Amino acid sequence: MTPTPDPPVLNVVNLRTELVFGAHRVEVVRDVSFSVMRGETLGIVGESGSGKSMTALSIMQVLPRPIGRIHSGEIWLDGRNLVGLSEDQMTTVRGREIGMILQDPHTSLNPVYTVGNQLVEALRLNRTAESRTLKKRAIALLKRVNVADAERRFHAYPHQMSGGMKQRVVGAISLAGAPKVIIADEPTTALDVTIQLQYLQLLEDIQRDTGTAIVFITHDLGIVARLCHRLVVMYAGRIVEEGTVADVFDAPSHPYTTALLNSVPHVDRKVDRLYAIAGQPPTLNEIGEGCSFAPRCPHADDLCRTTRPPRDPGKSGSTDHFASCWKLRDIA
Amino acid sequence: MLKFLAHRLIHALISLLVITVIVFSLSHLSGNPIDAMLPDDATPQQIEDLTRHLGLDRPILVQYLTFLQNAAVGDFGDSLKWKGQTAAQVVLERMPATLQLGGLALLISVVVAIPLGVLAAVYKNTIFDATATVIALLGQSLPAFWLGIVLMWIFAVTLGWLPTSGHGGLSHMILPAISMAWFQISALTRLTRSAMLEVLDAEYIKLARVKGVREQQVIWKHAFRNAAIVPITYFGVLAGSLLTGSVVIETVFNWPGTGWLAITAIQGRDFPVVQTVVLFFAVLFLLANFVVDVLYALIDPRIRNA
Ligand SMILES: Nc1ncnc2c1ncn2[C@@H]1O[C@H](COP(=O)(O)OP(=O)(O)O)[C@@H](O)[C@H]1O
Ligand code: SF4
Ligand SMILES: [Mg+2]
Repeated sequence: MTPTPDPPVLNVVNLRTELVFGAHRVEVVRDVSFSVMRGETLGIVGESGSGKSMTALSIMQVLPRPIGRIHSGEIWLDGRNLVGLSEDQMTTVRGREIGMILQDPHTSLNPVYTVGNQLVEALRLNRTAESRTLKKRAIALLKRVNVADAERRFHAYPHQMSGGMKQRVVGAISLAGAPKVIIADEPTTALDVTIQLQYLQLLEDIQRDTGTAIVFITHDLGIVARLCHRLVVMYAGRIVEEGTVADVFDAPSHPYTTALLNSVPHVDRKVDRLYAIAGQPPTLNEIGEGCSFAPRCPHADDLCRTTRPPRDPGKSGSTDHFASCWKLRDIA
Repeated sequence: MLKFLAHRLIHALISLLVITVIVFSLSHLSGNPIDAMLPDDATPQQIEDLTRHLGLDRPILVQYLTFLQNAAVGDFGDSLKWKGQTAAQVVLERMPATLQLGGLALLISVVVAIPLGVLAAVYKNTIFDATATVIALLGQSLPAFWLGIVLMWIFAVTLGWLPTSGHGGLSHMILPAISMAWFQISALTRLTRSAMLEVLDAEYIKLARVKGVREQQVIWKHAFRNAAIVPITYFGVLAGSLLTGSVVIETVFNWPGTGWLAITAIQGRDFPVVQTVVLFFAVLFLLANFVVDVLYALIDPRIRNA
């Protein structure tokens, strides 16, 4: 499905999220803005620790307790700002309007309840369903995510299923409320390669059928190339580059994006992790005034180290391609 | 499930057998019962007769097997102190009083400690959590008998609200039950708190939240059911320490249960009764742990299907 033009179903504006450790605060999401259209898949890419999960948890407002909190910003969902909603109001947003798939299927289902119980719970929370049809609908959902032998699996416990199967169940749970947006936080990282591909295919099918917007968080550019329409690249809590998959892959404009792409041997083929960039992402309280990537960047100079680069049009020349780098125009 | 329980049952029976060996050995180490049973001026002939009558001249293994055989049908001989009653009768008579008191102490511990522990975890690092921690520390640093005496002094002697000691209705049980429960409350609160803290960090708790489950349900349906394994494990220990605790507390409050009986029987060198009390306690303890196993299996499907 091609993305329908405006307005975006989810629009995140200048989001800042911090973790508070006593008198010490660490900003883990720094002025992040992006939007997703109905039927669109947006990739959020970045190394581990760059703030991808914190961004997702901020949108759901289930940040780690009691240390996590949204400092400022707006999260517009279908014209309503979620920031500032009460916990009760957010409870009705979660599951119904935004669904979420977590990373590790082995730990994200409750071990003491059957799959059916957890699925029915999600259906019951999410309006309409009459209680006598709940089981039928749960089984239909299991079939929808290609769980074989759904009637029997309904009564199974998580430990009796494989990782891929469990992740399908988590997918089914996220679909239970027919949400407008599904946030998938590295949903295939824990799966075998073949299972991974099946899972991505499933997400594509679901999106085609329901028109739901997907925010797909990954550190795997191969998956982004295959699945996403647009992507944002995160580094140390900030978005450093954003654009369509075609623009960013053809004309990467931030040295970090370039490094990421170089560390993936065959983007069009299957997948490698991005480890080949020298150095480590900074711990977030080390970040100074300038460009966060400066300590690892081959092009860094004094300006980079002292002043934060502005968001400029990317090298592709497209109107929706941006990068934040002083040397955007200088580096070939 | 049945396989698991059968397995645990066999474990319990083996433990019981070991305990009988210990009880039997102890009764032979702790002085000669003949001395206690006969007057000081007994003739050698009387001593020999009684020794033969009790079978104490036979090989030790035979004596043990006889002991086991008798124990199996609840025959531990006649009480030496309570004339005309068998040891089993003497103990059984006092059992309900101990179970009442222990049961009440258990109830108080669970009803106070579980919610306290859960809330302390949910409101981690708040005033509430700090208060619960202080209560727990206090509980662990006050010996039960001391607390018992203090409570008795305040509520019975000074204020006169409750009876000082003896057997009777609920009013007689309140002070000893609280004294017994006190330490347990603190241990159970801390255990519940740390188990909940761990579970609340789990991914399935995050998933429950993102699917729109209300926080109350997240805590009790999703988190507590998983965390409960820890307090349930402790229940086995709890049952044991309530039984041993009864020895002290029943003596302090002059509560005529088996704990009090144990002390009185030891003072009177009434070996059959002492043996019986110890074995009864052992059986109760094993029973409590078997109940723990059953609860495990009920709560956790991974154990049930193992
Ligand atoms: N529970 C937590 N306590 C303390 N720091 C955390 C916690 N969760 C995440 N962080 C920190 O927040 C930053 C962003 O983490 P995260 O959003 O999980 O990164 P990503 O999902 O991109 O790997 C990291 O520096 C991480 O160390
Ligand atoms: S701003 Fe400077 S340090 Fe930052 S990425 Fe660009 S060139 Fe490198
Ligand atoms: Mg993450």
